[in-house]
Amino acid sequence: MLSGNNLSLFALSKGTVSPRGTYTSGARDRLFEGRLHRPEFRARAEERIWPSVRKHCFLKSVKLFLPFIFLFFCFFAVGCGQQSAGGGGGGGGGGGTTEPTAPISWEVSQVNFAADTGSISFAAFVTSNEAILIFSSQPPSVSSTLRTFTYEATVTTAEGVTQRSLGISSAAIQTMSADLLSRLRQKTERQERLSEIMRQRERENFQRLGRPRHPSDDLHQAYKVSACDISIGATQEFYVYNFDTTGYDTATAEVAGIGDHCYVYVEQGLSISADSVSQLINEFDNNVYDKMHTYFGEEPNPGIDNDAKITLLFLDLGSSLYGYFDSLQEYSTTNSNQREMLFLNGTSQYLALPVMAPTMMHEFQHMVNFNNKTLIQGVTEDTWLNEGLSVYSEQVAGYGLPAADYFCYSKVYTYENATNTSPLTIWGPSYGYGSSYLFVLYLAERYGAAAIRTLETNNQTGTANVENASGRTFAQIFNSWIIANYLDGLIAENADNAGYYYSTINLRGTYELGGAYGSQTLPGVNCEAVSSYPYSGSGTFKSWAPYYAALAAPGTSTSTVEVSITGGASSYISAEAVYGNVY
Amino acid sequence: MQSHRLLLSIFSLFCLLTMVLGFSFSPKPMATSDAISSVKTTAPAATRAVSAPPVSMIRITGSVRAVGNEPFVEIVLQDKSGTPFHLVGDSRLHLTDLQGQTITAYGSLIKNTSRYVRKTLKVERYAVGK
Repeated sequence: MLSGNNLSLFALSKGTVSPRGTYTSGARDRLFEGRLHRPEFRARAEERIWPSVRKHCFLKSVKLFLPFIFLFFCFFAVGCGQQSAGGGGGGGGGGGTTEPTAPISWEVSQVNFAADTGSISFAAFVTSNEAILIFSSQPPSVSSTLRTFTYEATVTTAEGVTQRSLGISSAAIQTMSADLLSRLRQKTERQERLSEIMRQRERENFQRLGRPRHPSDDLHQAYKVSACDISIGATQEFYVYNFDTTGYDTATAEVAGIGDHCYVYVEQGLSISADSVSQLINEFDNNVYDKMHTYFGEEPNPGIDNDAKITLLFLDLGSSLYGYFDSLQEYSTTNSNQREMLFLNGTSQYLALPVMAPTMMHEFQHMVNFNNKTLIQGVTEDTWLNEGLSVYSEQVAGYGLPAADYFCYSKVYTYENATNTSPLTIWGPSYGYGSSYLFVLYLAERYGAAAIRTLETNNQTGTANVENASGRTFAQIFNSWIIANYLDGLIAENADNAGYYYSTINLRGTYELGGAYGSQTLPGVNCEAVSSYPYSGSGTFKSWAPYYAALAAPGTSTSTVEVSITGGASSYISAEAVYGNVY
Repeated sequence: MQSHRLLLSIFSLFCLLTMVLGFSFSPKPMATSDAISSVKTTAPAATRAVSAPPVSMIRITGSVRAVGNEPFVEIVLQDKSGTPFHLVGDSRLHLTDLQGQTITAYGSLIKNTSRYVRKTLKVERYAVGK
């Protein structure tokens, strides 16, 4: 087992037995041993030889100490890092104010309940006010189980009505929460340190052994694409995944075009015009490829085929699949074409540039992500984040929701209608594209393109990757994000409201989707309306899936509304409230 | 001579500091028993005594994630040492629904079918929790 202790001891022993020790104390005498009794030699040594030896000794000493200085600063940095991580985490443990700062006309408060109950109150509730309650469950062990919670809203008017007693004070809850979170954090830190050691060993293995090998690598002789005939009209047989049998079939395709960064193959029997091929090549070479390299990272290059160009294989994928990236192609194994390649639907309904260009970008991101994470770092990204990055990449290429792309619109629409059953960190293809896309877009707008590049290229995955790229805890970002998902399209987009809206999309906007879809408007997140008091209701949610409720003003007079919340066992309810003058 | 004694002293100080800080800040090495306990053979002794080679059932505890891209998403169980196992098994096991949870899976290692990790575990049964 490699550990820091072993490293230190190894370094020490290396230093003491090194021949470089000759130049330490007594070196001068030993160097001139046997000759120092001769005065002329001693004088010459003092004047001419000794200065150069001294200089040599100094340089050697510096070289000798450099590793130790480096080690010292490494350990010092680790110590500082641990201290700062612990200190920062402690501050965030008790809930309190969220970041960023509250927007104009809105007060944002948050209470974390490690226990099962809690309360929020809204004082001076007047008719122009509205309170949005956002409940979510943020347990350390995520579950796709649907949990139920209940909440009651009671009103105290200015004249005074007896307030409800919860039996447990908010301060006590916060103390319990802080203690529990502190212990959880310590445990997580230990696990992360261990994981980092394991990842380091994996990286060392990759560096030593080269790219990961599939178990059946030896069964298949690798070949080089450059050895194939890649001239216009030349044919090539490809392995293609069969989704019905979950095996591989073969398909013969013809070279239809060659770009600066791609080969375009079209399956025999599929008709794609030369103009379309030319358009697709131009889009890939001058937009998709450049944007991917600028904002995300690089594909394996020259890769397994020893060829810098990407193969784009257009084939008939039926009526429901835009395209895909199959990472098996990156291994020299059976059923692998051993190329950097994307499989794209070449049927007419998917071939139009506004549909195919974002598809190419989307699938290309998967290839780049696979290269950065699996081939280089030895980890594999969580699906929810990987797909979020891909949908976001479509927007980077100039498509996606801002360009009224139907795929994006439909996924966001689906998410808005069922936020409470769409857990962000648990992947489900029916809802995950929308939530993951919005989350990655939020990260990009909040923390910039550099954060996205970091997400793509570091050795972390999932929520740890998000924290590493943003410098915030995942819960902090999530809590701001779910507020933004409600407020976007309602509040002014200015610096005061930064962090509570999207600048590139409108979650309540109208989009011209074209064709049979026409003009469609996103409804905003689904929100339960509460307008009569006292109110007693219940809701359901999954982990990291928010439930929204909007509380209207209770009457004409100034009032205080108190909401008490009770969750199931270990629900880890977090309740946020956005409260203020209505937009 | 004095300068070299000084350098030697600094060298010794650095060595000492490095060693002390190394012990202070480096994570504890994982105990050997931990590494073994994460993959534990649970075949009973009686089974091992018969002449036919037993099917070795192993037990792995860890957290479940979905990794990779659609449509090649894989459910992976990552044990506490960080080693990921691709989980395969009967669809009635609903392995996808285990995402985010800590489970103990019982099954056997089979020829790897994963695109992303190096080991594949055919799950026979599992229990949610540690």
